[in-house]
Amino acid sequence: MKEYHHLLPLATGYFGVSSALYDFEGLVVVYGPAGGAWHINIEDEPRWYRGPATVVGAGLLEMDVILGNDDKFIDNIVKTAEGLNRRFVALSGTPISEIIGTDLKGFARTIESRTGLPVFMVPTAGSEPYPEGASKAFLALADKFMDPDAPGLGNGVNVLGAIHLSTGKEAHLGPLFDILREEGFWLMSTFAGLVPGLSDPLESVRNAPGAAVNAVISTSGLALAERMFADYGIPFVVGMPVGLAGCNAFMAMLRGEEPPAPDRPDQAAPQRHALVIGEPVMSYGLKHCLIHDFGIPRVDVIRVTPSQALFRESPGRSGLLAERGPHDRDSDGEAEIAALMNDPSVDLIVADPCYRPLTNGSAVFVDLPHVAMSARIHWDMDYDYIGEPGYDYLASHLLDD
Amino acid sequence: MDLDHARIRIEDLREKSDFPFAPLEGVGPNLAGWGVIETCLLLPESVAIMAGPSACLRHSAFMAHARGFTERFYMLCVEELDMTMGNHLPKVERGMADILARRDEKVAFLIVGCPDYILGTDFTGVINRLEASTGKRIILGAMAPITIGLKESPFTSAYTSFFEFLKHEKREPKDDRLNLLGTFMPLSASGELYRVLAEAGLDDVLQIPLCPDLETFAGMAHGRASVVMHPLANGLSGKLQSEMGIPTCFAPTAYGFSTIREQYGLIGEAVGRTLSIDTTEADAVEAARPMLDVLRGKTVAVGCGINGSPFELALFLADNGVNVETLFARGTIKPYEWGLIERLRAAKPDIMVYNASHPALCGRTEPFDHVEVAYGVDAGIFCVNAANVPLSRYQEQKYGYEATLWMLDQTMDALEHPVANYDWIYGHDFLI
Repeated sequence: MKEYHHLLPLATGYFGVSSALYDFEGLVVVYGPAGGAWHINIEDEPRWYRGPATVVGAGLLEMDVILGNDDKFIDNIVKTAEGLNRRFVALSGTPISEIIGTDLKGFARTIESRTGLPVFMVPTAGSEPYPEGASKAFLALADKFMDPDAPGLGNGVNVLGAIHLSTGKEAHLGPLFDILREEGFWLMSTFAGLVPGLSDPLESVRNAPGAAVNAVISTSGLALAERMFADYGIPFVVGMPVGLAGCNAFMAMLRGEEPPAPDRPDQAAPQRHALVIGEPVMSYGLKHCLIHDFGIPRVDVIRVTPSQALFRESPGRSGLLAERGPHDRDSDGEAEIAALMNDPSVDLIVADPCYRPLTNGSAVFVDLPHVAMSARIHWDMDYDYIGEPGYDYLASHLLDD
Repeated sequence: MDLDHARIRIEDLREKSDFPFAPLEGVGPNLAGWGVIETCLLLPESVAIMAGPSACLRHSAFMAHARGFTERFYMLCVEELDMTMGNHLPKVERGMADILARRDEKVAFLIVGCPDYILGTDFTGVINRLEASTGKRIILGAMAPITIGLKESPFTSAYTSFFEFLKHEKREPKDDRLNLLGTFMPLSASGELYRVLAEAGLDDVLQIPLCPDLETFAGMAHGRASVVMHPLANGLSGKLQSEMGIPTCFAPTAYGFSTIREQYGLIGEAVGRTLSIDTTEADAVEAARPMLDVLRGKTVAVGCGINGSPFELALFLADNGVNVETLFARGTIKPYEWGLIERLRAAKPDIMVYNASHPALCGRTEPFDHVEVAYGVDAGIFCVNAANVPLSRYQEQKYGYEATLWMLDQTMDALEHPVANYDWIYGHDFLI
């Protein structure tokens, strides 16, 4: 059992479902009391503001749980989905549905037969890491909408795992889309939002099997990449192209080439021991950048969500931008993270600003918001991490003028 | 889904079942405030420890951090399987013991969520052992939105539980002492109510958020009367009345001159003194006149995010010739509000009342494009072109005619220097 005092517990499974499915014009029903979906919208889903509020709550009450008012909720979901003219319905479980064993899969079948809409459930509860929920949501979406006969495109690429809980505002991915275009790739799907220039996000999902390669930029996209390799033979590269060297390496891997040996940095940062705290793929992208763009000799990573899938051998994986170090670890425990942050040798910390209260203040702290931690608190912060803008952002904190 | 599903003309709103039913909880920018944690931590010398699935903890943690309670709030993450099997009890006990060993507070609230509430987990043994081993009082509470609208809310229960720290006091009534209940942001000692009370010889006013310690708080047992400013405190004041003989009156924050006069009358009855308000009222009416002139003729919406009742504010505005056109409300209309609705029905029957949680309202702003002033951040979400006046209970707690003038001042300020609804919500945490 973990104890938290200064930190917020990280977003969990149904937050991940929301993040993955938000932009697809479906109806995501969080099957719990009203408060669950409300808090997602108010805090964890900044896209909610004055938008169509894709995520709604079932409004479960005590007597519903005791009496098992399943018919009532099925009716309500059908009425709402049809009334709002949504394109699919996704049901996501909460601690309540988990404990009382609500048959959400049965709900889904019934609602699908009554509405004719695609309906699926995502088995979530309330304690699992958010990438698990997002990952399951992607698989469910793929099962419902991907077209196995989508025409192939030799330079097509899907960007998988681009959920806002891991990568922030869509604008932060702009540099990646630009670089892909400059490299001659055709962006087919981001699988969690609109593809620039394409008005129908579900169409991009349908076409996704036609890609030549998948770029996985967070752990929540790994399972889908493996599925797409198994089903369609699409290889995938895993990594977040933070900074200059990372971008070069990542693009080389996407082209099916060996990453070039990084150049020596023009100007090295004075720090000697950095600690990066965050989502695994993003954190290893940062590590690569800090080592190769800024010459920092030791960079340790605290992966706050599970990293096992990132490092497992996978036949479809053709590239990995992650160099695991001896001191890296998985942990979201507040006390453990605080102890590591206050190691006297650590002189640089790159993490969400929410971690600041855990430090004694002696290390340089570079803010890199992780929405699954700080939600909308730092949503509007001005920062970058990919490619040259990412390098510039980090350089502004690490290098003298 | 047509907006007609989400609204009703106020002339047709006669009982709870008339209120538009929301088949699912949609936008719902109306649930903020008065969280269990902030209610518990009003009690001085207390710490709150919440145990539950991390999803539930994350929600409460936002509120606790936003309200500045970080130092007094802890969370213990529990897996659903452990809860179902009851395996979390020893873990919670050990975790609480560890935390309490590091804290000086005399009281700890153990807050559990919907799962433990539904499972009926029995924490009696855990609490008894912890009280014996730590020498501190442990009070069990629930942050359980699954109970909303069905019975006494978890917030009210938490507030009522404060009676445990009063009931053993030997009551010795003090002539000049008054208890103010139901305030979070405390009323200013330089404000109108304090002045009116002092003129009537009541210059020893106790408010929970201003009590530095439990000993001061226990002094409420000796109050000559209690004044309740928010329904949340009716449970506690009821116990003080029935079990300790302390007279009470319910006089919630209001904006209408006639309502305020009635409330001062109720307070006077409860304390057994005549309160002198004629000059204060006359001055307020005079000061309000030019501001009401500006507001008259403008189209207004009132939301339920305001401090006080949206029906009461709407009634005051409508009575003064302001074009109140829209109300955003929730289905849990409080008993005292039905009288206000009846008066509003007579004053302006065509006001449209929306269920702010209805999914038909998701993303709908165009029906409210013409609204010029929106009270409450929930109304401001829908009324994109309006000057937004939050009147949040997290800004300032005003009372009496002072509240009316503050409301009008805020309105004039918003008309001259509008602040974006987004900034109110996210810059000031008004929706948590």
